[in-house]
Amino acid sequence: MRVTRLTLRNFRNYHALTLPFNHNIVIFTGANAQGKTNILEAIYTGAMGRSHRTHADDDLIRWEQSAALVEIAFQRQDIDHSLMFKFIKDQNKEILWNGNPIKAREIVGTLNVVLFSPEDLLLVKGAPALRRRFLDVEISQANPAYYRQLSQYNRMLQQRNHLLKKIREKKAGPELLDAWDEQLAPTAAVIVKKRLEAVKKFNMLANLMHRKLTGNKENLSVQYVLQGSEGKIPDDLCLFFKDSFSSQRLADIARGSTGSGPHRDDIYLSVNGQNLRVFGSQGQQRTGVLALKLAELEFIKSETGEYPVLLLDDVMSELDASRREYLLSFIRDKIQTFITATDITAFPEIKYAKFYRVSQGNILE
Amino acid sequence: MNHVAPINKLVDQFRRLPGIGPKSATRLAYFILKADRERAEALAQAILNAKEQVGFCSQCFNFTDTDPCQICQSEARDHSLICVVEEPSDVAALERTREFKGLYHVLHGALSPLAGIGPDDLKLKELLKRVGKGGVAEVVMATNPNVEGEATAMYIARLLKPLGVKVTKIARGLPVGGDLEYADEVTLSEAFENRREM
Ligand SMILES: [Zn+2]
Repeated sequence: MRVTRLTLRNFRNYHALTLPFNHNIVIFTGANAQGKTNILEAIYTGAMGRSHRTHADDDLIRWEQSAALVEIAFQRQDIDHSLMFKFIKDQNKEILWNGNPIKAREIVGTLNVVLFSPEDLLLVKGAPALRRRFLDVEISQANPAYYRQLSQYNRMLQQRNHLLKKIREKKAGPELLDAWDEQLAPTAAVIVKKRLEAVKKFNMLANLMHRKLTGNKENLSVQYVLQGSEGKIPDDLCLFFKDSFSSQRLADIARGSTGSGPHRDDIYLSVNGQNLRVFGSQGQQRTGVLALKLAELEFIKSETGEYPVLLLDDVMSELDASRREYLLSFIRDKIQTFITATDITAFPEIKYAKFYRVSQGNILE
Repeated sequence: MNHVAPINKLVDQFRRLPGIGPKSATRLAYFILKADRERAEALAQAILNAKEQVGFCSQCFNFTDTDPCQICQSEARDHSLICVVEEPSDVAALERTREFKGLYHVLHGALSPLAGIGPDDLKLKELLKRVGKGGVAEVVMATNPNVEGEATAMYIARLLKPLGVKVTKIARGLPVGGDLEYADEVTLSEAFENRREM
């Protein structure tokens, strides 16, 4: 997977920009708030159909303009593709894939991207929601059907939670829940089944990466935690969810939300048998994060046959020299990588790259 | 923004129509202003006539200018078979396939707690009454293949089963998350043929 050209019109703080990419590593440097991350954001939007920084597409349109345009030319399995996004104020965005209209939810899996941003540094330490999202984004790119099922699940869950609140306020009857639970349980089962398969594979890949990063001293293990299963994954997941949704119904009504399901699960990370989140040093946790991100690249490669494009947003300065060096040797010739950094001279190990200076929405070579 | 008040008013009216953005609304308004008077009158009259002469069929709740509607009256159709859909536009889509020979029942929506739509907001009691009268052998659920349509179909199936009627659902060959209305005719015909008991 390679991005060959990026065109921006009135996107964020860019008036008009066209950049052809011939290098494997492309680096954008400059002070904060000059527009470095906006370029990575445009590529990420191309991959996921929406920005990772905002839910409001209007935020992407340049100040006092009515529309923005993002065009990404890329190669997938050596075949040229193009994605074009037109963001129009107060309207739904228009997306064209190779000239044909496509919906935002259909786009995932078209251009595969792995984003590594400062937020990911909390992957080990932070809340379960971060790890779930990490897993979901990774599986979605390798398996677009998963993304659709996940969106459906989230929609059902929203409806069910709203209904629970109405039942609590005596504005609806509890018998209405059956109609939602009957589809919620099988959908939850499909999602968890796919997550389990992915984590099994991912566990091996992350373990391998972690061993390489620690000179074979540490053993990283990644395990899926199914809420309410007491450590044992049931054979019939659909039945498991049916039972748990119905047995917790009263508590769910009282709370006004659904207490079990894939939206409550987590990933358990351990190093040499110790809980990495609780007992890991900061250095160990950082290594864990890097191993997870590298495993994500390998996972997508093994599922799709090709490495995704890597976006390193402001994380180089967060890694020490040895981890940086490992990362760069890993990506060197095989993974197209876009990097942003405030001061690149601090990273002498970066060679053979194309450098751009970013200043107030202008790009200088 | 235009400075002529009647034009603004007309553009504003068009903008409130589904699927019409500001550009299309302006284009439609200018088209009408350029057309001759007869044309504008014919359009206005057609809108008023439709509004005055078309109502809901008291049996199936589809739009009709006779009560019962043409379909409900037809001797050629199988009166023991009822297909449940969300909107009148779904009836039109299914009729285009010429696959279905039974009668319809239009719910006028689907269950959606988020949108504040519960069973009482749909033509559900009317469906139960219709089936309860007897003479109905099979009810085919053809709600939209999305989360809300599925929940509605399941809810109705549970209500109908005690009445001893066979409840089926059209097959899921339809694009998930889409609207029935936009499915092509071949897909819809196949979905009908492959309906399954719920
Ligand atoms: Zn009728």
